[in-house]
Amino acid sequence: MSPSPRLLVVDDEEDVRWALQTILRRGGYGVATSGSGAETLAWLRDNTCQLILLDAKLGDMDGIALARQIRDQRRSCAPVILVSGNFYKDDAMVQDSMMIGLIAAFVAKPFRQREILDAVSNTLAGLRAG
Amino acid sequence: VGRDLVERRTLEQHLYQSEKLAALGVMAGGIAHELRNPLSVSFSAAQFLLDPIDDPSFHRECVGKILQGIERSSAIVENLLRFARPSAGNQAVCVNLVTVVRETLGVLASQGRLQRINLSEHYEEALLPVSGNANLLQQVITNLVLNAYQAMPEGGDVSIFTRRESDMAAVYVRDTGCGISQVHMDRIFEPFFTTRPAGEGTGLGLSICYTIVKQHGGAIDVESSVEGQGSTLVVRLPLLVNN
Repeated sequence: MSPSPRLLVVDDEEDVRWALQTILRRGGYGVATSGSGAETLAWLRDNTCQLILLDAKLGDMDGIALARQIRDQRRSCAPVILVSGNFYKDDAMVQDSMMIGLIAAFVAKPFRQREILDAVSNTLAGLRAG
Repeated sequence: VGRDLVERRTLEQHLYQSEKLAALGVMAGGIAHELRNPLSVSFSAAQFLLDPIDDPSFHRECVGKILQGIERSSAIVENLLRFARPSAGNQAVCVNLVTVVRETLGVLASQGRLQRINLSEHYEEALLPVSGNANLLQQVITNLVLNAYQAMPEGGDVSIFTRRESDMAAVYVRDTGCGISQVHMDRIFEPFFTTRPAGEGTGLGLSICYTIVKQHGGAIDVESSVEGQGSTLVVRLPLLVNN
């Protein structure tokens, strides 16, 4: 992983990481990737990012549980965008997680480039405004 | 008496089919995850190709990802169709039990990954021919494995192995879950017996396994179970002779 990129993509599937990384790089962002919850927590110990795109189901833990650990362990203040094939936007889990500020946005798989880029730019804009 | 038997058979088939559909419901999350990941990759790669691309190797990479994603999605759908098709009649034919187990685990693996379960399989022999109905036997394996998954809400290991034991074919399903308490041991194959909260599970999974295995002239037993340390359930079916 390159040091201190702007965005971190967390997904246990290499091909999904490839797709998200390509979309984000073409959108002008610097990207680092991680394939598991443990790798993400370790990476955040030594690196920083401005935003995390997080899969809801990782091999070693739930995405929501990872978001909670990142927050509770104060590993990062970066907002989290949940990217998932398991939930839908109106899902109670998604809505509750947004309400308590655990995730900033949600994008369902399969995603359009535009949906990812809009979610990222809106979240970063919200960060600047906040 | 004949009509009663026909009615009973018909009712049993309806029960097996509805239990199979209930199992599909349990697996829905895993199926969604398994399908939407290759769809995401193919969808993204196709969108990349819509833009002018100067790099021929990136172009080839995108096409490769699309093809892989379609093949993977198609394999998942084929497995599902194979799983969901109704059990045809009661005619017993020669079935390779190893193939039944292998194909069933192919469908169940995604749900296991979703529940952080490490699923391992070991086949001592490539061929274990038994007389039976492949769809019903598939349902036995499905129920046993899903039962093992449900015993491990925090994840764990499920190992399945098959072997020949004199004139029987044996399938072992071992988990590292909560185990079965001595109090419940005698009741787990009873219809509607469940230790899960109301509304979760029909309590029919293991009793259906029991009925199907008995219909095939076999036996199903709890080989070992230590509370808090997991269980091993074993199905034994008579091997077809002169195979």
